[in-house]
Amino acid sequence: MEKSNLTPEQSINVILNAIDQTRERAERNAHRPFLVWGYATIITTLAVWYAIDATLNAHYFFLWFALPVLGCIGMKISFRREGKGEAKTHIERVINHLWMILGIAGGIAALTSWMGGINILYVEALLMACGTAITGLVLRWRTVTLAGVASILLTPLFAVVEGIDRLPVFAALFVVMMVIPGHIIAYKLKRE
Amino acid sequence: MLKELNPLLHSELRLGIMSMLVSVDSADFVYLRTNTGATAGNLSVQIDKLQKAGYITVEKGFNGKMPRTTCRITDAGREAFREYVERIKEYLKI
Repeated sequence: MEKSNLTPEQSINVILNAIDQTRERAERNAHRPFLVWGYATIITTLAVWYAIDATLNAHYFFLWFALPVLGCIGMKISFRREGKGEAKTHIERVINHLWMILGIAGGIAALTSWMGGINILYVEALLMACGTAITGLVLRWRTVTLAGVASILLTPLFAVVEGIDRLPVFAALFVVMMVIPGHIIAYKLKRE
Repeated sequence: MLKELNPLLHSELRLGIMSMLVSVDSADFVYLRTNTGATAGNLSVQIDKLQKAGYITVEKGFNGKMPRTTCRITDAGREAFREYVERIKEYLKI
């Protein structure tokens, strides 16, 4: 690839090709966190719901601890090295930091809920829906933005539904918020 | 009169490396090798030249047990790239 007598046209082509390749690779896996965390949340939520509904034993709330484990394992498998190296874009860094902050806020809300007084499923759903909408806006993915906004608008359902029945509502919100847009983006990227 | 192009950037491989780094926060050696199609030896030499010019920083570390070299463009590199593109635009009258 080493040449020293580039024409200005060749230089522009080298620059445009390099920028295109980078953008393409950066966007290629962007749907995966939505699918991984969406499915991990749905599986964990339904497991907690089923276990408590079937046994009436509140100890099964500890099943929530499976969520970060499932999510982390899923992310590890999903982003295992493909031998083609890694590049992080500025936007990816912003999105990673956004979800890190939301994750910490969600963790603190979960710990606070042990002391009582807050509707944890409402708070978590609202935080994650805001994260989804912001991610969609930053990445200019209309589907993700709409999914996030739709989820925000659906969160008042937690005021209508009571007790353990909030769990399937929570799982359904994650279908709208993460799983459906994740699959739509995956389909679009595959088609491109 | 048209100004001379920066000779350090006016090479296909070095320009390719800089163009990739200008559009990302960081990229590792394997990524640059895959996307430029260069050999590891040639890429190392060109990265070294860009680093010595202060256009990029190179950080050596590990990803698990595998060694990993991460490259980032510096402010000086970004400015040199911007100037290079400006001069190319002058040449092409765009």
